[in-house]
Amino acid sequence: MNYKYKDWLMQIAFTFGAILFAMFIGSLVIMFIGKNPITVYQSMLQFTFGRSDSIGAILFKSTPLIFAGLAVALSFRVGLFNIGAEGQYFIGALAASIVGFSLQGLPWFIHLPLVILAGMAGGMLWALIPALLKVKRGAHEVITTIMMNYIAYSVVHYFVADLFLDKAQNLPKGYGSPMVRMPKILESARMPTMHDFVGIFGVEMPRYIYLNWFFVIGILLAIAVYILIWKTPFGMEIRAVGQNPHASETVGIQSKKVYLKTFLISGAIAGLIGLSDLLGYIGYMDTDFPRGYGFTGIAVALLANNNALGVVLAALLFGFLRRGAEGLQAIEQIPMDVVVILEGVIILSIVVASQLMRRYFKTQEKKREKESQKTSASDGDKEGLENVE
Amino acid sequence: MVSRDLVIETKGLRKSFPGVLANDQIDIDIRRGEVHAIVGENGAGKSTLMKMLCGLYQPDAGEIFLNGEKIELSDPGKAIKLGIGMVHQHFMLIPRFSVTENIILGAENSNRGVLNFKKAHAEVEELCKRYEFDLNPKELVADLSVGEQQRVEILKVLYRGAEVIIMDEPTAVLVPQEVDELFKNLKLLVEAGKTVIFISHKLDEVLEISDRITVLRRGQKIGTVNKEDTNKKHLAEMMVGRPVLFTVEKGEADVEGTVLEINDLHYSENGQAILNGVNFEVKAGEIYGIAGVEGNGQTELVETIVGLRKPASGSVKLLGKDITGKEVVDIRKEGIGFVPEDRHKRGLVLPMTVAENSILGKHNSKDLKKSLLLDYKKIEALTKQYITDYDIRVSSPQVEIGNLSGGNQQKVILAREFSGEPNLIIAAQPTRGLDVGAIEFVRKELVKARDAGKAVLLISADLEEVMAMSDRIGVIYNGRITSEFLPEEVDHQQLGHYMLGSEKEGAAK
Amino acid sequence: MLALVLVLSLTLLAGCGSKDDAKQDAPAPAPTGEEPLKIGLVFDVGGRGDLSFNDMAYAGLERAKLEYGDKIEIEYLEPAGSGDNREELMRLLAQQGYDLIFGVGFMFTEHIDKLSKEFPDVKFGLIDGYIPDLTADSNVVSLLFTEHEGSFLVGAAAALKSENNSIGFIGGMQIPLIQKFEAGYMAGAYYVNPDIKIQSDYIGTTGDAFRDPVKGRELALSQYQRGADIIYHAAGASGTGLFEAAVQTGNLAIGVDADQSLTVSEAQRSHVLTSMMKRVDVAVYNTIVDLVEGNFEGGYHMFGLAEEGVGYAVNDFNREMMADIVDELEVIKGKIIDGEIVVPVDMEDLAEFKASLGN
Repeated sequence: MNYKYKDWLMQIAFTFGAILFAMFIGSLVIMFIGKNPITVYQSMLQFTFGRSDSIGAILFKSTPLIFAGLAVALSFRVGLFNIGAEGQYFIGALAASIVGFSLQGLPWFIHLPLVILAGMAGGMLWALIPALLKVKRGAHEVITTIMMNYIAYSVVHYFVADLFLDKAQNLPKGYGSPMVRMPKILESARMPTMHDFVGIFGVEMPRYIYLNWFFVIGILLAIAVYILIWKTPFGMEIRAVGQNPHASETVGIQSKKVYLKTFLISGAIAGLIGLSDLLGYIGYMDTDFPRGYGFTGIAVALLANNNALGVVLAALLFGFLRRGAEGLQAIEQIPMDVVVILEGVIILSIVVASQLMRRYFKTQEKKREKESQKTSASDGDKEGLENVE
Repeated sequence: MVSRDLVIETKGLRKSFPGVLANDQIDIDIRRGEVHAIVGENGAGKSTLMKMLCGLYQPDAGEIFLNGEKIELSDPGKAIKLGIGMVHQHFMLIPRFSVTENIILGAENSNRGVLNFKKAHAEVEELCKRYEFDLNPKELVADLSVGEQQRVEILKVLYRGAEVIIMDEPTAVLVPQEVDELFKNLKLLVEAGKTVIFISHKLDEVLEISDRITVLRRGQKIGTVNKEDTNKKHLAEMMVGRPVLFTVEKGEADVEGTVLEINDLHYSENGQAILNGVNFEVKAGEIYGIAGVEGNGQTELVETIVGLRKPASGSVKLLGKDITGKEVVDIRKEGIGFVPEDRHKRGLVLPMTVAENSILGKHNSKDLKKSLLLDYKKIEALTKQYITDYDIRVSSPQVEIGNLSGGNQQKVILAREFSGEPNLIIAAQPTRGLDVGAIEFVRKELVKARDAGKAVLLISADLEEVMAMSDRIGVIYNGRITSEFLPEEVDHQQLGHYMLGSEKEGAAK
Repeated sequence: MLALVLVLSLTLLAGCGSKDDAKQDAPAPAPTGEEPLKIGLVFDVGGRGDLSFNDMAYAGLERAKLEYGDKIEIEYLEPAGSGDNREELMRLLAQQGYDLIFGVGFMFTEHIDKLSKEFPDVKFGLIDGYIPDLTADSNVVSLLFTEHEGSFLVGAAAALKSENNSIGFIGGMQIPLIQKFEAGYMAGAYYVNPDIKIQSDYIGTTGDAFRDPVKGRELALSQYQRGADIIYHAAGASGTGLFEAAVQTGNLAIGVDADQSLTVSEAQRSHVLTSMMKRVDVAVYNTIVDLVEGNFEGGYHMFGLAEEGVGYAVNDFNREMMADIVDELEVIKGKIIDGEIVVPVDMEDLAEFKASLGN
């Protein structure tokens, strides 16, 4: 079959096209602010791939996005738009953090799993409300999840800045400001970093890289989600309902149940988004807890075409772009706004290119199928061409 | 009446789409004042050819002549200016506009930006009178029947000065009485010197209305024949490329006990009553056909039986067991095979593969699982079995089902729905949109199921099909089975009559 | 999917390929001696242009640059919208051999704590944040302000000037720092007039609360409508909405952090009674001067009323408006410096303070 070879060429062509296009548009932006695009690109690549710490930083930055991408992709699979991953991970992190500082005296192998479970439960709880509203009342999940995001921010604020504000910060009375945070999470609930592990392979990762085992958990979860979607009966129901709820109902699949379950799983995964930062890096929940992963997760899922394994790659791409952005800011002195524009251009070009490519291969498959139907219709009766008209 | 001079002539027309040669070397000639039918199976290239004639597609090669002059049709606007107008199968009308408004839309004669409705009304009225179109120009299109809407579409092209009118499958949406009306109109048009190009695959109609007939097959012209020189069998053979059987071969029905029993079934939606007390039963070993104009509750009736809709009152019993209002999954367990009328909406998940579609609904069965996961080897083996048994033309079970032709898609549904040894088979519009070969196959399978002692409920808008297939016929009108017949008791015309609301005397069920 | 694999692997390849060429551009660590001192600053979320907190820090940086010219080199960065890369940006500056790096806002507290240990040769300036156990030998200086004292004075000014006996407060986010402003302001107002009516609203529960002028305007309009004729804000860039509302309703507003009479539009100027100055610029500038002159000292630098680190603004535009109350404010100011008045720092203290006034 020589089309395989041709397909490969096409893929390479599309990919190069996307990169060149992104670089071209990016060059215009860079020239507009009076810099030399070539040195800027060189410095970005050198910064991201030429330093030992950057690789670790990219993996660390991509970790929450793996969870975010998976949560969103799973909901997209069943045809629901979980815009609420944002709020779900905030509540998840809040729950995890409460369990993390309040349960004293537990060994880590009990405390850490408990904290992770609390995170998932928090995310699931926050997904339950829009899921029920969707299934029982038909309220559109986009609206309800967006509203739940706002509520989540405020709930977290109330817990962090009021109810559980860490009072143990001894400031001289009247001077400065305490951190607006909850008590620190106990050591028994912290996720260990991967320094020792990569050390086995002789890689010395700087201490200030917070790459931790959530990265590995993320990859394992991606594989699990992949298996769920493609290898289990329930995964088949998810895809069937997502692509055609009417046909699914006709063959006896109860779409509402599928919606509800999938949304809850999505919420539970979303509950894990913030934990890499919470348990592996920051160590406490504060008003400044990283925001926006839930929304970036939408982009990650779209870029990956909702494929669980693709989510890992897309998350890595985002991690790479974010790390590169820091380099551009700190070393090339490019303003943040321009960096954001560059990031957008790159993502957009890749999305467009991969869409074009997908379409191309779809037509190819269709064409081949028609050919094969044509050749097999040897007895004069041919239905293969029906779709032509 | 038929003059010898040619209105339209094409030479060597050719059009290809990625991977498909839709039209190849098409030479046709259309004479002024004739009804010229273009026939062929689905996919033969009829629509492609017509779209080139009305400017929607541009040919890759070849020439089009109008009155002996070579023309380039770059867009539909140009075609209509030259007097070629097309009436599409799917109407393009605005329901909230009146007949006149719809007709003049896009061809408005305005006086300094102000529409002259009076004049427009007069013009439309004049057109109606000339061609005996039974229409009130002031009526809203929303209030018109399908047949009347079609007349509006025809008027639209006449109003724009069309000399050649191309009609794409105009009878597909009409009941027999409306077809007669349409043919009457067409004859008047031809008498007035207009030319009609008529696309169809219904051979009886073609033979009734046309003067000459051109047959296409696989994008190529097979030939043009005069009506007098041909017959249905001959045309069908030209179309398909082999002899075709028109009658459904079936023996005497061997009827046993009642399988499906519907009692006083009511259903309403948004406060509107749709089923108003449906009563009938289907017995093992018979095909019970339901005939009716679309929109009289057929869809809702079927979907209520299989559990997709919950009835307001009444009962559905399967083998004596009450299944009224149960969940679809439970009803299917009782042994119902269901071929839905809209296979793209209800029957299949198009982006999924043939294999996945083949086991949809059975995906939780133990036979197809290996511990918690789906056993794809078994699924593939089962699908391959279906592919052989049901003669599904596909290169592999892993192909997306959306890539298959309608006939092959329908075969996948049959395979899935018939294979679980159901007691009852419900087939709604099972041959809609299929071509002759596939239609034959589907009908044979239904008869096979009936002969195997299953109860078959057939719903079809195709009267011929209902008459040929059924052992008993029920006519549905306004959400009720108004009359029941044996097929030999009635003919098309009578049945059409009942479908429009008459009731069999003394037979009010 | 495959596309992504390719994109990533190709970028990786491209990265490897260009590594050698790019090496020449890699920044060399800054040597000491003749070279100018490198000063970096990382803003709080919102960044430059808030006409308030961040801009004050920037003003200090600018002033140092103006006065020391080629002796120093400055660079300022703004964290990503989510704020999660503050630490990384600071670290990158430290790695590039910056000598002094400022973190603008208490949110940098933990980051600077970590970084100061990681980079013992780099000096850090932390604004508003408190790291325990710093000494003069530490490489961190914590720059702390008594915002409640300054707020007390503008609260008093508002109470003295209010004709309706009704004033308002708009905070960004309800956090201890902003509550310090609120408590001080209210205490000052009650001190002058125990019966005054004070409305208080907060804009939001996320960092966005400090850059939402639309909400700021709506809250202000609503407070004015309910009778307030002077409103004080501690809401960063959201405060610009307050000035618009003041013009629209013909009432007065009190600015914060910077002398906002100088930065608002001409039409708004006559509606700014005064501003509570928090001299972040002075703190930044002084720290740079100390470094340049070799006098840098770690530990805590307090900026209170006595140090002129906080206070109320009098300028060419509001001098007339303020003329009749300046004397009284100066008396109060003296009492605070002398310790005669202890300004409450939170709502609990405020309640006590109010109760003590009753007697």
